Amino acid sequence: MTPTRQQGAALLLLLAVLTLGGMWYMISGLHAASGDFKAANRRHNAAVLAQAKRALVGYVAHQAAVSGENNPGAFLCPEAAANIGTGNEGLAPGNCTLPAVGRLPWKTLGIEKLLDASGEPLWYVVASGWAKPNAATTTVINSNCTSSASAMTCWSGQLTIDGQANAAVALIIAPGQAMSVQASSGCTARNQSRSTPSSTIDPADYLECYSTATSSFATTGASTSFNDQGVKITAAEVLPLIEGAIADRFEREIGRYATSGGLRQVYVGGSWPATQVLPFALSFADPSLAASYQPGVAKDVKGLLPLSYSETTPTSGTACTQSAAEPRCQPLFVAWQSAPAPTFTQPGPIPLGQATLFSSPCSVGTASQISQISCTVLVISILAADMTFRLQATAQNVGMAIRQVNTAATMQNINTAGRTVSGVLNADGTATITLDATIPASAFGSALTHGTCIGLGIPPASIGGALNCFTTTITLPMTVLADHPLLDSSTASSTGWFLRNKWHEVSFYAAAQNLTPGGGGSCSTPPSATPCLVVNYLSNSGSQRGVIAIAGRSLTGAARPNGTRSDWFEDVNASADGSVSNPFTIRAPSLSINRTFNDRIAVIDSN
Amino acid sequence: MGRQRGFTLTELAVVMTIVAFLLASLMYTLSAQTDQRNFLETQKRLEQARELVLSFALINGRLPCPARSTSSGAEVRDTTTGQCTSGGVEDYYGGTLSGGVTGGLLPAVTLGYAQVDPAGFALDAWGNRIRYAVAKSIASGTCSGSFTNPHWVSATNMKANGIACQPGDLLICKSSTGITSSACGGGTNQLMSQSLVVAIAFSTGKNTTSSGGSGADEAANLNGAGNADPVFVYHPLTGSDFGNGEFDDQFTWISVGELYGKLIAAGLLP
Repeated sequence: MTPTRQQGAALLLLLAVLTLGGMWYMISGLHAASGDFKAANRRHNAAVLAQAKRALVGYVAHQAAVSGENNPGAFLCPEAAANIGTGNEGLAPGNCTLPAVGRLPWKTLGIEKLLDASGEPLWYVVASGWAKPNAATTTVINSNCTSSASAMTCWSGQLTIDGQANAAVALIIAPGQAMSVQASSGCTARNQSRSTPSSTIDPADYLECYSTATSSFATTGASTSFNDQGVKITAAEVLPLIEGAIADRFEREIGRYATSGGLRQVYVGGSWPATQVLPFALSFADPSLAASYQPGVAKDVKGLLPLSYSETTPTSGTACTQSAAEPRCQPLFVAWQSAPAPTFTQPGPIPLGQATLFSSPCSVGTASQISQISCTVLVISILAADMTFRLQATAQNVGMAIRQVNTAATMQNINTAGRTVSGVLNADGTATITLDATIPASAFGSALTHGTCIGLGIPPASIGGALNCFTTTITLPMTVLADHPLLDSSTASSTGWFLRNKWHEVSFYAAAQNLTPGGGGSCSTPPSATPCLVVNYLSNSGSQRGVIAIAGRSLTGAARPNGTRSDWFEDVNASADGSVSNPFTIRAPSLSINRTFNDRIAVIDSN
Repeated sequence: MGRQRGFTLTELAVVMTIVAFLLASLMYTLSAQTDQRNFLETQKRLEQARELVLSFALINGRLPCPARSTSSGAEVRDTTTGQCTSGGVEDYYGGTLSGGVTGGLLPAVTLGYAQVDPAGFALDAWGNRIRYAVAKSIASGTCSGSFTNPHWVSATNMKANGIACQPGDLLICKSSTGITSSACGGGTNQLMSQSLVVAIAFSTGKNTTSSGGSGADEAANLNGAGNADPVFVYHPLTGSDFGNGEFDDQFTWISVGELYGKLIAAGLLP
């Protein structure tokens, strides 16, 4: 053997050893890495899904607080397929067929276009009742959405996930790589193929094992049929945020920050005295039942918001139609009282040329489901002439409802021009209404014969010669106190969202005693003879004139809606009346650890 | 046996060329891998910055103001007015402030951010300071009723103004072409729908040290002048042959929904 050959062999051996060593290192490294690969992918997906969920839930809550939002609590629709590949990619459409499946509308949410571990944008499913299904329909979402008894779409439309019914209201999905889906239980076979995403994108090429027909989706499945990773958003998760937003919006649009048209301004100024009055509450009961709003229901300083209404729309003058679906429609809740009887008088001195009132018996009746006063006016005059009069009457339950004066209401034989109406709320919840107006000369028609006049009780000495008598009938319908604009639940009203979403069915109202009808119109921090309400932990506790407590979802699992305060509220709120001994509270330190307190307090007015 | 024959010059040249090729490709791969690692690390640090800003908001009920090159990594905020101002110089959007001070830096000390330089400023993986901008104004008509500024950096005002308020200034565009100091110059150039971004944290990328980041798109991210230009540009990486120059800035931002969502869930708002 030559030395040259020996040298060559050594080099070859060295090379072989190095190559083997290198390969061993690489393969062992690869082996270790592949073990972590799946876990790392799942970790990445979990992170982006969590970020997307946080942004989505936050967006829903924020949007619920936005003034003018007619669907507070509604989720966004998935990205409009037509936007894919355009400059508007990532924008959600205004409405969508539910349950809707599509890509996450990242641009509308304000987040970046999040990608899963396989580089795919996230997908998103929203349940029926939780987004706008068409341009004309608004959503109805409140704390009762977690109760099967609520008969609300936001309950019945929820998604079935992994076989569990009503498991979520939305689902965000990392679709993973395209795969050949094998048919299995709940999964349809499909060889997924993904071309450049376009408006014809088919969710089945991205998501596996779902059915929009049955609102069924999956977050787990056999590896031969399923490779998505999803995160659910449940009603219980999103409702506390929506409730917070609603409490805030209530304060701004209806409560203490409302600059006009708020609940605290209903009976102040204008046709009412300058002293503030907050309406009475209706005694607490199930707010979804007509019995809770009917005539005869007791007044209270705490209980249901007095939201009965009487007209098809405020000031329409047409009585609403009562039905089981409209428990608050109570056209005869606010009605004229026969006792004390209405009084029709002619204020003196009588101007020259005007008729002189002889008699004016009034009666209270009902026409077209609307209470009305009719007065038969008999006057003595040379010729038919305008006649100025004052009609004073008492209406029941005005202080247990919210009404506005409508001088333009249709009144028979009363001049529209020059009418003034004023009202004062009495301690028993009635209101004394005074109408100053004129009867037009034309209403009196021709003079009656003297014989008829005498037959009507006019002494013969008061009639004859040039003096004649005239008669007419005037009517004053209850619609002179029309529904307050706050009772308008249509989208035309900026506050209609509250009633439309039935937030009143989870709201408990309380007012300081001295602020209710018959009180002095003010209150001060307890201890005081005229105490304001006490709300523990609120920065200016003890100075609240009126509040509502908004109940979160039922933590006891009781069917909603119901009239059980202990199911609505936790801790001291379950029995609070706002007094020092029974205060409201905005948090319960002993309960918050277990997240078993979900009441919200919104202030209607405070000192 | 005669004298051992050595390698010829040609053989040596071939071997050395091959070795050079191998080394070069190895070095190239290594440097590409380093870049990739730094890119991912920077992304991670920005995410961390984002989380820290949100955590700060949870504790303080507001967003932090940016730091300045003179503030040793702490936010610069007038505690009386609550505004991001000091000595009459406002800084919300970063860039160069009066007196040559660099504004718009992540307030690492205030946030408790870990990777900082000796002066206390947060660093990205390239060793550059992480930038931060925060919304100053409210989009008109978004709050319900009256409101008081500043909103986003004042816990008191944020609570009083309510959660309907949206930011009215920070904007992220896809390109610097056509942008002004207040708009992207057309909806299609907007990466984000308007009124959605409350804070931005970004890295100026690797080229900050090499080329200085002079591309038009990158320049748009450093021209805030404190309170003058809230319009930023973000798009995927581009090389120097790209129309608006090289772009390697990395972004992360906080949407208005995320901020409110966190604060409502924590019971700080409304």
